[in-house]
Amino acid sequence: MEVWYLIILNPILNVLIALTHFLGGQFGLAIIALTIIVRLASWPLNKRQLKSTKAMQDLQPKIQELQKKYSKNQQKLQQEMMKLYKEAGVNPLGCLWPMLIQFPIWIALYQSIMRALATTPENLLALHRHLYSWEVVRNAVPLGSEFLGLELGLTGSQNGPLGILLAIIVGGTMWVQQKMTQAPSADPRQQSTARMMTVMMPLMFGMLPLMFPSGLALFWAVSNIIGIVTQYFVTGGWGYLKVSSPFQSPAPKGK
Amino acid sequence: MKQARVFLLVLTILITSVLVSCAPGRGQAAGGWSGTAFHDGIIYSGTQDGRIVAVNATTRDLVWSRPMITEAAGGLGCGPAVVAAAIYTTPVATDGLVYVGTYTAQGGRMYALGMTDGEIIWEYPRGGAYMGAIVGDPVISDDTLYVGSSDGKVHALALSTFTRRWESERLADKLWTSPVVVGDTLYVTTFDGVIYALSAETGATLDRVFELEAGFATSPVVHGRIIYAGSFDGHLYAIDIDSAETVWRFPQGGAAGGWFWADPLVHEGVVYAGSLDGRLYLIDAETGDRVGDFDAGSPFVSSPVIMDDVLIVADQSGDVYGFELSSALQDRAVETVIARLGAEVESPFCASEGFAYIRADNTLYVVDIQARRIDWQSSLNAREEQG
Repeated sequence: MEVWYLIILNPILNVLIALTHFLGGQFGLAIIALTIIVRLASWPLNKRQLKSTKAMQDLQPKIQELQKKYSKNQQKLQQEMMKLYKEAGVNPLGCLWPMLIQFPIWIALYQSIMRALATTPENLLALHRHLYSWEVVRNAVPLGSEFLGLELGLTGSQNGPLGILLAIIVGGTMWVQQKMTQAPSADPRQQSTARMMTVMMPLMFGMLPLMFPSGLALFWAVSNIIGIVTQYFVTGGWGYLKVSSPFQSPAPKGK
Repeated sequence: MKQARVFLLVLTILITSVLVSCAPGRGQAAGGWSGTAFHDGIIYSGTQDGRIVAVNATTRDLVWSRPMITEAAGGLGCGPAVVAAAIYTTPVATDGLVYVGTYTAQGGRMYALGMTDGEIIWEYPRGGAYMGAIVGDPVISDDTLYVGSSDGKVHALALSTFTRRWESERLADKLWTSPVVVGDTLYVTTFDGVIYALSAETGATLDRVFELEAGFATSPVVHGRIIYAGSFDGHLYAIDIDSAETVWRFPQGGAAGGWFWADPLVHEGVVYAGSLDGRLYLIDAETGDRVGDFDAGSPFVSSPVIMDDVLIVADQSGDVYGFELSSALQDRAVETVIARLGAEVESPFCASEGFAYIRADNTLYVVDIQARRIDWQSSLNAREEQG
């Protein structure tokens, strides 16, 4: 556990607090800035993940063909799909590993935000154990937690309409991001699982901000928005979002 | 299908990890660190399960125990729940009443309890309302109680009716320190690094006495016309009230290794200040020069007290030290250890009639200073009390 603090948590926590100092004491801005910095730092991994996702997207028409063709022979379907992946040089789990590698950093970022917020007196007292002796850090704590009318240390439900709006943004952006990558499947079971995920995940992440400090919700929202933007540019568009978008005009009939 | 399963599994692990590492219950719960007060042979303190207790110092019996419960909003789809409030304030016992403030997620309240039976005589605000959650100790002067709260305001209550006399403007994000009353002026330190002077009569802001880049961690301690206050920047400041100038800053060069978190004590020209770097510093109150220091090796979270020319301090690890005020402190660590409580001391404590009354890890320790030992101890856990 000490290694976790020493190598990951404490550096992120202190950078977050130093950023708050440099950004005029605005902890909300520091959360946004650090989220962008972490995104930039993890860009090589992220790019690999997105490219892997894009490659998977490109293979979808062929996969769907295979799914139709071998709908009654799962074993053969698996074999053919693996063959297809191999020919295309795509690892189906390629988009997951970069995400897994980045995950400790995101956990540390979550924990840093929670610790830096020091919502209870005990948390504030405990904070001193994690701080460097940098002058900017010493001068910044305890952090002010007001940002755009939100009290970042309070939960979304305690923050009233603004907190609820933030929860909706978190859920909404999560939905958009999921829709962009969720390929339609010819297999009804897979399609059903995917549909459930697309609904459940945003719903869950939309609920969490009501129960967690709004500082975390701000982080989730910013992270999702950056994810959507990078995904848009790397994969070259809205991905599968446009396929099922309710705002999209129906395809012409008779062809 | 296999890929979807793997993805779902990974996702479940990830989400669980996030929830486990960040759930509000983990590391975010308020437990309270109420200190002890001694009045007419009775020890008063708040417990970690949200009760105020009165313990007879002679018979060691629990005189009364009052749960400070509050109604909390339930979770999604749940109705309201009754939960115990956290108690950070040290009870103030005077004139037949015990005053205490509470801290909950919804806010806080000030209570006046009967000294003999713990019955709630007054509460403020009334009718189920809350003020900001209370952390700093209330201060009583004449017929008024002053207390800072997490709404960033100082609240003044008339003791005779326990109704609002005034509330100040919002001075900071939150006020977790105690105000100090000097004549007709109230001095308040804030986490923003400002010392305010307020009118004790009306609550109007008279002056921003002093501004510091870092925040103040301690309440102001006034001695003569000097305010002594510790900061998060690792310095202790002495500020002249009249000129609003820094008289001195300690250490004069680089900062101490930790925050000055505990309120300093000023006695006969010496400032005794414990730091989270594990050192107790003795500072000349006039010049700011170091008179001596003592390295306990564990942070000083609670303030020192003086009784019968003995300086008593307790570090966070639970070691209680006593120093003859004439001693230079250095190299006296071994012979000055009075007791090892083996429990974390994070609460203010008091000393009277030869004994120090210390609450540590929800146990009340009574330390005999002359005999240099724990005289007796009593668990403040509700279940053990009943047993």
